[in-house]
Amino acid sequence: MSALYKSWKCVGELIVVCVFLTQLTQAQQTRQTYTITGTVTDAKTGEALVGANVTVRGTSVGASADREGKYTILATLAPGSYRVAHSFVGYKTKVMDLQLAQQAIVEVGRIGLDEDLLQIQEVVVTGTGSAMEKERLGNAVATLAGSRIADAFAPTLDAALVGKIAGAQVQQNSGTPGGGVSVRLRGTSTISASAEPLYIIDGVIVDNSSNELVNLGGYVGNRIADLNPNDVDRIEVVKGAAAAALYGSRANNGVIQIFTKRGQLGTPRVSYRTQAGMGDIRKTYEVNMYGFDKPPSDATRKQVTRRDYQEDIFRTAYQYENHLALSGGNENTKYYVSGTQTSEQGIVEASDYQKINFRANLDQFVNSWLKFAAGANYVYSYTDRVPNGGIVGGEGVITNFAFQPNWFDLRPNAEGKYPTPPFAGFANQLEVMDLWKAPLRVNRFIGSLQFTATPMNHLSIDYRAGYDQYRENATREIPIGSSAGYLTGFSQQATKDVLQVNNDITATHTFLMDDLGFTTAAGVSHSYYEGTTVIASVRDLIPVSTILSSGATATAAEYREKRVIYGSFLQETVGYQEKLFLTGALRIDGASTFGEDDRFQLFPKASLSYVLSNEEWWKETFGSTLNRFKFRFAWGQSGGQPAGTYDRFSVYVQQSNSNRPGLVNSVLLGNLNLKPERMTEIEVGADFGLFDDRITVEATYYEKQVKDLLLQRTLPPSTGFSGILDNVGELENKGFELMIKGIAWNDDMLQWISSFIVSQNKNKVTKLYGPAFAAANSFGITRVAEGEPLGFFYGPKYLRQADGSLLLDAQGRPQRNPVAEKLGDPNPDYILAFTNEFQVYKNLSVYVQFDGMMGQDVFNFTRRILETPAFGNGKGYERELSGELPVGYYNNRRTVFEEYVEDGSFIKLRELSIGYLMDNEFTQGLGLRNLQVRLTGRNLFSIDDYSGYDPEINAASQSTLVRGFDWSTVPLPRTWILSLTLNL
Amino acid sequence: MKTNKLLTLVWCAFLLVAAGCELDQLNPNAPTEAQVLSTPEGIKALAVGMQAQYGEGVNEKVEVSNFLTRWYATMPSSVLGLRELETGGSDVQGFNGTVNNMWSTHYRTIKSAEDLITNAPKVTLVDGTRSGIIALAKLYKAMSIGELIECYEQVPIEVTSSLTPTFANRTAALDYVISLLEQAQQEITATPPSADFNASILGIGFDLTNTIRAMIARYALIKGDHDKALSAANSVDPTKTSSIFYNSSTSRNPIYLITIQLVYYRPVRTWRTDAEAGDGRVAYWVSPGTSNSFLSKSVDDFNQFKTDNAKFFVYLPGEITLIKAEAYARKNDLANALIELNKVRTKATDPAGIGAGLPPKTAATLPNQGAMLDEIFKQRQYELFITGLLLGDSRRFSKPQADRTRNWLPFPDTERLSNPNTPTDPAF
Repeated sequence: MSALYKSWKCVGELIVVCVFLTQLTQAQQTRQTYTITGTVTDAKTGEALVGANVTVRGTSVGASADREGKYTILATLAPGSYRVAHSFVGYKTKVMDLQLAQQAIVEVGRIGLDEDLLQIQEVVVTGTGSAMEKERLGNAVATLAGSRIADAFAPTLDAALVGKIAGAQVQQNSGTPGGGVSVRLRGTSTISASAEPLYIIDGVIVDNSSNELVNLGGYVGNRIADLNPNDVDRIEVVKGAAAAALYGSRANNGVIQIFTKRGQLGTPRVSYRTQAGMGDIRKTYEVNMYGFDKPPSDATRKQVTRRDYQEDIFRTAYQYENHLALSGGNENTKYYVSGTQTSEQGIVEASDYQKINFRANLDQFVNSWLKFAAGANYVYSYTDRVPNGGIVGGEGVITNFAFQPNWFDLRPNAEGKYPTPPFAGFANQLEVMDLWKAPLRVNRFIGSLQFTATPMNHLSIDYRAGYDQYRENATREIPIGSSAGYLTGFSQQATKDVLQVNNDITATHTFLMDDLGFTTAAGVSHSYYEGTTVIASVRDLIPVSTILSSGATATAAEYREKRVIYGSFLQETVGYQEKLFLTGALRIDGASTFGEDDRFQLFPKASLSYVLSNEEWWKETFGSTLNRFKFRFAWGQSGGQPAGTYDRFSVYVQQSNSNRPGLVNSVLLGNLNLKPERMTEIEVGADFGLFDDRITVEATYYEKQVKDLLLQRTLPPSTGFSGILDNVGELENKGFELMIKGIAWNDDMLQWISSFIVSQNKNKVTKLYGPAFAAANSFGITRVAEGEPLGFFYGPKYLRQADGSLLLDAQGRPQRNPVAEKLGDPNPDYILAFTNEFQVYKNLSVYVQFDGMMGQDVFNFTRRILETPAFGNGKGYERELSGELPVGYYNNRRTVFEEYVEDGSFIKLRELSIGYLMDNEFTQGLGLRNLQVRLTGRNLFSIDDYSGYDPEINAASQSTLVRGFDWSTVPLPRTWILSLTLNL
Repeated sequence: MKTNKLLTLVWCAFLLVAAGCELDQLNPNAPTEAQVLSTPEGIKALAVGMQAQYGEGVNEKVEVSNFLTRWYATMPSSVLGLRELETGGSDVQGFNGTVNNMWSTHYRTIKSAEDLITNAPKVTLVDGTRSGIIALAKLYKAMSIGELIECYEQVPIEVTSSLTPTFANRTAALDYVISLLEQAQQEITATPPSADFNASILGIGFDLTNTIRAMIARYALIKGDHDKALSAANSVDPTKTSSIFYNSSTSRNPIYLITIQLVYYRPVRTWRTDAEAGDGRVAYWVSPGTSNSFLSKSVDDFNQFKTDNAKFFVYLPGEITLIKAEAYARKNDLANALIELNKVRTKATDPAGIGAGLPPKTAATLPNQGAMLDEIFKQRQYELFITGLLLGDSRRFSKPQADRTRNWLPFPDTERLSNPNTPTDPAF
């Protein structure tokens, strides 16, 4: 603890020093009270920009524009030259020079701001210690406007990010409603822990677990699904250690910060959006409809009638949503309140998702130097889920479409009793959809509280408290008499309670000295996590009822965990003449998960941003074409938390003797020296604008080395243990990101903006302790080995002739080479996105997004089972049944895993959105400010060579290692959504 | 002014919130090492658990012993590892399942025993409970090392101090086993175990005092200290037995699981057909069978451990008598050897329910030491069939190499790959 107090004391002293310095510098000069006034407008239309921000650079003095766009700053400052920055969301900031001398009232005049169509000038706060203009940053930060999220009509907030962030691989793993999205920022940086980024909402760290409370064959949703995309104002994404070092031991997977909408100055606004949509499956398997069950050579062959059970499984799914938001405010108080009700059917029968979401945000100035902000978000969701995917167990619906021969009639008899299917141990999929239940209920509250104090011109202090609490309750109810090993029925109830609290204090001090500007930020943070899981199940149910008390032979289990992390940081940014910015920072983290001797960990970072285009020589040489050019370099370290809360402990487990409870040590030795996985990242990049920012480019190259990866190291059994979780592995990610945006056309009639994003990442495991190993729940196909990318596919190939053609046996059947080899890599080489946005006049807007991934492989286990002769439901097997192929052809082929590793490259028409905005006499007559109708299609088509439903899905859901594994997972539906938005 | 006040306020609020949460979080899901090894209830529970660890591995020493001496044959249901033991030689490698399991389960017991020996003296316990626990731990550690050194040429004997334990040779290991047993004996002689120890820690049916004495006799004999073996054997109360307790739920007899439930192997029929006519012990251990093994050997059925709660005798009364006979014989006191031998041959039954019921031998039929030892060896084969002693016997009585599929097990791969001290494997 002493080290912790030391680090706190350090930060505390620093703040005191800052305050003292400020007093000192101020005291040296005679100060005077000034009244600075002006008006902020849209340069094009001349309309007042209500709520525009005006700040005096190098101080925390500022004001916002009122309903006429006018502002008044009352400030006590020393005479001298100052710069006044006028900014407004979606507009380019304009900075004016200002001389403060004798006169007390200074009129800046009318300032017209230009629209920032390509989001060149943005202020970011994620990982920067304090709010900072992008220009000053030495690292790339991706930002995204909330409208792009809401108008994507994606099933969840995270699914809406696909194709919109450079360096991010966003993958919706299942088409099941209720979530299931994985996000990898600049590749996967861990082996044994979750690879999902840290999510923060308005400063609150929120939980994004994938809690597999009951077994649904591998499907599990992630908790970001609870959030409401309609409430998002903007998103910031930092992707690696260089940018995320200030998040310390939780930053290895990057950080995604979501800012929700706040109230705005002016008359109250009501926005009501209603939407209805439909989705269906984009592509199904062709099934075997051959009239016989066996090949002609088989004497027992009989005539059969086959059925395409996909027709019983998939349906046209309907959805609707209503969203109402009220916002407004005056100079002192602003509010935003919204409520959303969602209902979404899945494309698999019996899957259904209902959600209610409520949010209230309040901003209140207590006085001229103290601001208070609060946010509250309540979510309730109910999901009817259907098992799918065969990673764990054989009860999935699509799983059994593959497993049960389709000549067998699975439909119920007159009594409603479902026949037990021929392939033992597996379920009757019609029965699973009709009678089995697996609902999930989520109750969640996320709250935030923030005080921002600007007690002096140069100092601001920010206190933030966050609270995230949810209960996730899952049940599985299988009535008595069910097929597939559940003859006596089964009922299970599993509940996870999570509570997460975080507290942060940050102090920021700015200080100008001639050409140099100093910004010092220091902070301390504390975060607490508590989780309790309780699982109970019974078998031997009574008829009809399926609750826990209707069964016997009960089993129950409980797991509790608590995690505490303290952090403190200090960051200094030095700017020289708005050209050169140097940043250095240190973060110290102490976490309860680390061993006592390694409890406190230091994460440093340093970065440089050089805006060459602000140099006179640049302006004179390249300035006319390359109007803006910034070079940046950043280096930093961050950490990754172990997957388990208590891995550092050696624990004892129950072992009774002579009917007495006893204890023996667990075979896993606790690691007293457990420490975080540590990433070191270097990134270099350039941001530039061509032809007066008509084209903007952001390019970044990065290298991430992760060492101290936590892996299980084998111990000699003579120690009484089998292994220890130890910091022994290493891996690397290297890649580049390029984003080009351009204004293709811009006049009064048409505004056309194009953007192109390409990201490349190469992942390689550079050190393992011990031999290569197969990932759990991958049937041994997914492996981790030194020198190979994470989770590569491994298995037997075909026997081939010298020319590469298949070496067939005497009967003409393919043969398996029993030696297992590398078969493919589920990690994409490139992630691409191409978007075009058209605005015709003021009314018609069209958004088209193509995105995709190139070079990744997918293991199509579904096809393997479909064409396995024992089940033989795939179209291909007809050729063996008809005698065209020799008997045993597919039985040989199914053992050759090479056959099922397919190129998963795809380009999808992800979004096509057409909107029409009306704000004429008609809408005014209705009392509306405006009205918008929008039709959006998602996943409309895919250009790929993949033989299965969808190359994007993953049966292992958000698994870190098992990727690109297609085994009877619900594909992403093709959806059309029509929405109507009324604004008043 | 206002700044200072505000700072103080915010700072205090933060400290209040933060101070409630410690970085030293305890694991509520399972007792931790510190909690178990420093509390009386933890030490007692570990003493209970250690006995269960030993009990769940009693099948392995029997399998190694009886496969390597060719008395067991695998059935079609068997795992490959056991079949490798049956064929022996270079078929048995470091990756063999039994080679690894025998090693790791015994060291799990040894690890618990060492933790008890180190920590029981530091914890507040009733004197008799402490002495009982320490004696019990030393006995279990000694038995575990003793069983290992009969299968592996060298073994680590101290394991908690390092993550790469060093190996002791056979002589050092046997000396260590005997000294541990003598320490255990001194412990309970000085402070007899408490009633609490006997009622709530010591396994049901387990006789601590007599087992320590029996084990001194067993390992002194193996080491070749015949006087010590003799005096220890004489101190064993012949009316007592000592056994491992099993039940049908939480601790099931592992020999039952493998021989009756899974039927991985059966006894080779020649064991029965080679027996002396009228030997009552044959029917104790086996019943005539009709099946053939996977490798087409004629096999019988097991007649012991036929329920999952069948107890396993830690030593048999007959073993003590045969130790005496062998110790006398090796000292060339053939008259006394014959007396002890005949006690075993003629007993109709004993506290363990075993009786050969054979006629006594006369001095004339066993005229010399060699003949006497041969007869003792044969009696041991029938008296002690499923006890795990036959491999050691076969070597000690210098039986021909052909009687054994291997002399020693190779060292487990799991040990070799992570412990650089692992010696080279024995040739055979």
